Amino acid sequence: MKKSLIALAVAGAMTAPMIAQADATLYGSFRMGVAETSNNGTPGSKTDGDIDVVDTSSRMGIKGDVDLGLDGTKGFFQWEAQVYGTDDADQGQSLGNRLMLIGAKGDWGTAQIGKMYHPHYLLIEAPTNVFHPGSSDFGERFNLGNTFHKRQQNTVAYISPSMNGLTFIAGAVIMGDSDDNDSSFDDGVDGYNVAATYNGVQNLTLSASYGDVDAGDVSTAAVIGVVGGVPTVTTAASTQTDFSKDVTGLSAKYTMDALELMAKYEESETDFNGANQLDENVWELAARYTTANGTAVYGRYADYEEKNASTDLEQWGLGVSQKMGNGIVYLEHVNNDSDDDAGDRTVAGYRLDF
Amino acid sequence: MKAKLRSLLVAGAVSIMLCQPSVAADVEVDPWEGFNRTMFSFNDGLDTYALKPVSQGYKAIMPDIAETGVSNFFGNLADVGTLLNNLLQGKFSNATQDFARIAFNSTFGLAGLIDVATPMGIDKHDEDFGQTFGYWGVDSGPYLVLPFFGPTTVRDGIGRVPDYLVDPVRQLDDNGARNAMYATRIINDRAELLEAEKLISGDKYTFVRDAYLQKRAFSIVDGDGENYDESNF
Repeated sequence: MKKSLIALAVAGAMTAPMIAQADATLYGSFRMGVAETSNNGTPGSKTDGDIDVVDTSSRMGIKGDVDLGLDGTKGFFQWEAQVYGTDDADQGQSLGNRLMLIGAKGDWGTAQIGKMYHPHYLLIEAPTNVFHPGSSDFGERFNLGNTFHKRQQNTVAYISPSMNGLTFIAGAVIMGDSDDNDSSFDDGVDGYNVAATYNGVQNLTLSASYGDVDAGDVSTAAVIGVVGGVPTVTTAASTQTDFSKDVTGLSAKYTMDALELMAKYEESETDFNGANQLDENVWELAARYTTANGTAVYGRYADYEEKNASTDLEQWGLGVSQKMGNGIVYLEHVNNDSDDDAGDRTVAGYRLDF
Repeated sequence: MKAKLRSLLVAGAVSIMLCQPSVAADVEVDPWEGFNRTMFSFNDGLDTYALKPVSQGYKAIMPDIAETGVSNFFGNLADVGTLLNNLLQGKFSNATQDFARIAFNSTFGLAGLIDVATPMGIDKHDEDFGQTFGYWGVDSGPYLVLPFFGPTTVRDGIGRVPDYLVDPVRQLDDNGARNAMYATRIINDRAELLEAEKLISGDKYTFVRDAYLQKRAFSIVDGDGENYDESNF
């Protein structure tokens, strides 16, 4: 009897960690390639014909569900880090935090807190961002957030359940004094993003988003300006008071068997130092055709306009990929319509998901 | 004896009846047989005394890996015309794969010398303007043997004009390089047929004609023709 109790206890002790681990999934996507890049818009960082080994957003993470002991509601968590296989100056880190969020979900919807994609990116920008290295997309310019990135920390968000195909998302950024790791903003950073998506009609998805960020006084370099042919990050002023930015976006996606058609429109206004500094918009069309054996051809066209500086830019891209199990090989070219071909880029890449 | 004679007569009549459609079919597909046979003899002589020996020498001298590389290189160039014709035939899935083949073989495959697309699972297709005309219902017309160019039909012969216009080799500015490419391609294509021609038996002209017409009919429907159902035999 004692022996069997001991055996049971030993078995229980060995099983408990296995049960705990069973709900966590280790996942990742490693993405490397070789890129030929002309001047990328940042003076001095690239020259025509530079060929680099590039890391196109490799990442790994852990995610899973947690039993909360509630009927119809369970907890979940996700942590995802960027891992780097290159020594680019802007990628000097060995590990970068991409996502870290926890939440609960049930019939009532999903509530989550932490660092996450904001809905503007997921619903408006992501559908047309069909390329693997997406950083050269004009759409990235319209990101919200304190560092104007598609992933935002210090965020709480609620996602409604689908109601006849209609889903609402609302998120708020709450950053108190000196409790964040971003020194760009001194105090009282607040932002919000509300969005809705509708997929009640077969093969069609429509989305809309509005977001606003009030950053207070910005004391360091900020994202303003267009350099070369590409909207990019530069310093417009050393001190910007009452920095605020709002972004509105619309997107649509329609699927016809193997063909997907995507479109989006975004506009944004940026104010600081008591005046409107930037008034910009972009529209983009994208299409992707995927065969039954995993071959895909895709392309996109974007038109960017900055009214204050009378800047009008065009960008197009063409790519082809082959899916092989959990691996993808791709060849992509992005062309920026500018006199010096700034930012033109061709990437031959290899991606493995696990 | 009478019974034997009667059975022989019946067998003969049946034989004649069975043969008549075949002869009629031959006349229908090959009304210019006299001219064609003359051209065939000319081409055959040219092949026997010039092209075939050169191709045999090429095959003997070239290492297999180099021979495969040359074949892959021209196969990659041929994919350009195949892509265009798949688009014209509305075969978008095949055209997508053709584009992927060209993209991957021209880059990862070192300008097409290595066919990386096939092991990646991207199927190779073979299309030309003659097939495109056939796909859209243009009749093949009579069988025709052209001097130097070999077996074709009126439809396929006309299709060779746009085939030539979209041929990537034609885009080369340097005459010497372009002609060298043409010559290498012809020798490579002929070398690839050295094994296949061992199958030829009987009347060579008829064999080549029938094989050509069957292959074209097969290619136009991408092998989906009902005539290949075994119940038809």
